[in-house]
Parts: sequence; structure tokens; C-alpha cells
Amino acid sequence: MSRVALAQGHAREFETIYILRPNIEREKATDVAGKLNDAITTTKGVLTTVELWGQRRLAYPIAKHHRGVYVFMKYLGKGDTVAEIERQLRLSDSVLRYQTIQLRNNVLLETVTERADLASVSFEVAFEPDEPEFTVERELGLDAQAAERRRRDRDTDPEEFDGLNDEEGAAAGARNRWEEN
Amino acid sequence: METNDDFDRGDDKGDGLRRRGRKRICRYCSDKAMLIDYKDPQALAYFITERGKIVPRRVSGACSLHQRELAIAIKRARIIALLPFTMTD
Ligand SMILES: [Zn+2]
Repeated sequence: MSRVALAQGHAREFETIYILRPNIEREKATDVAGKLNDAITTTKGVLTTVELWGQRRLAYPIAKHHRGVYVFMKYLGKGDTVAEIERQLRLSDSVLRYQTIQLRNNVLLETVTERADLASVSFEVAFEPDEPEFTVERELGLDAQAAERRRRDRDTDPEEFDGLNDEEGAAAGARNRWEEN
Repeated sequence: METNDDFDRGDDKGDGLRRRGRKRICRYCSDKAMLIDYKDPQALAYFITERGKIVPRRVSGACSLHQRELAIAIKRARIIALLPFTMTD
């Protein structure tokens, strides 16, 4: 599918999210952005969207960090654009993680008019040291909600399911956890 | 794709009327405006258990098309740390 050669004037559309360490200096963030900008231009890609999501809590710790600064970008290009972007992200010590998704194949370049510039991202977000995420009580499962959570997990074990009320239980459990965060 | 067949476990014990659970409909089929996006962990959270496991579709009611899309979205969200792989208390 994606192996098929692209016609003239066409490209593929990708999006990449990368996560910066929360405790780096702002210059390091702009440094990464500059390298990605170069990666796109040298491979004749076109950046269409950049969003600085800012510092977010990670769903699980990465390299002992519990928070990270998320940057989202969308661009048009070919495989070599992705390869160069990912090479830069892999080389950078400031980047905790990245992921690229192909959104569309065979996009006619003329039809996409949005443009974005990584150099214009000021990275005016909090780069802060990690907050302590886990209390001793939580670690040991002694907090008030822990017992309730365990009960719900038992109930929502897929093999145990027989439908009726457990569905609501699972949904409520999932919602509760997001509200806690 | 619109609705699911009722899941019959064959343990009705003769009365023939008792159906396990209720009729389940796929949220993404009933509301076409809802899109499955790995960047929206709050929406996906409905389809994972407290442990972080993907809820089977016999439970969530998702149709096979949307369950497949959901599974991919959840896995993508996990990779970029928007959703957990596992949760232990
Ligand atoms: Zn569906």
C-alpha cells in the first residue's frame, strides 16, 4: 500500500509527537525544533501544523520522569523526511519518546495550504523538575481508594464478565481515574 | 456493523428468554460524529479497564470495525504515554 511509488507533486502526510524531558533548559527545546526544521527542509518536506501541548503527566514513568513536554507536528513528505526527523529525535538527549503515524497516502501537495514553522515555537511553557508522584500510602496501596480499585479490577476481569452491571463499573472506574489525575 | 449480534453463551438453562446482559450498541456507530483518536485519552479511557487492559468488545459493545480501530488507538496512546500499559495499585 504505502510502498507504491508516489506520483509527481504528491506526498504522504504524517504526524509526529515527541516528548521532551521536563527539566531541560528552553534552549535545548528550541535546539531540537531547529534540527527538525532542518530535517524537513533538507528532505523537501512541508510542515503544516505545530502544537506545543506543554507539560503533561505521563501515563507511566519514562527514564524516571513522571512528566514531559509534548510537541505535536503534522507534515507532508516522503519516507526520507520521517527517517531524518526520527534520526534527530533519537539522537537528542532531550527527547524522552517520539511516535510517528502516517495519516494519508498520495496527497496532492497543491491541495494543502497550511504552513507552520517550528522556529516560531517559543517553548514558553513550564520546564520544571518533576513533582513527586507517589506517596508512600499509594505505593503500599493503603490509600482510601486502593481497596475499591482492586475490587473493581476483580469485577472487570474479562473472564469473569457476564455483562449486566460490570460494564458500568468498568466505565466508571476508567472515568474516576482520569478525574483523579 | 451497525449493531452486534447478541452474545449467546448457551447457558440459558431452558427458559430461552433469559439473555445475558442487555442489547449493546457500538458508541461509534450510533454517533457518527465521534472519532477515534489516539490523541484523546479521555475518550479512550472508557474502553480500558482499571488495570489498563483493553475492554473486550463483548463487554464494551463496540462493533468489530470500531473495536479494531480502538485497539490500534489505545496502543498508539500507550506508546506515547497518554495511556498506561498496566496499572497496579
Ligand atoms: Zn461501530
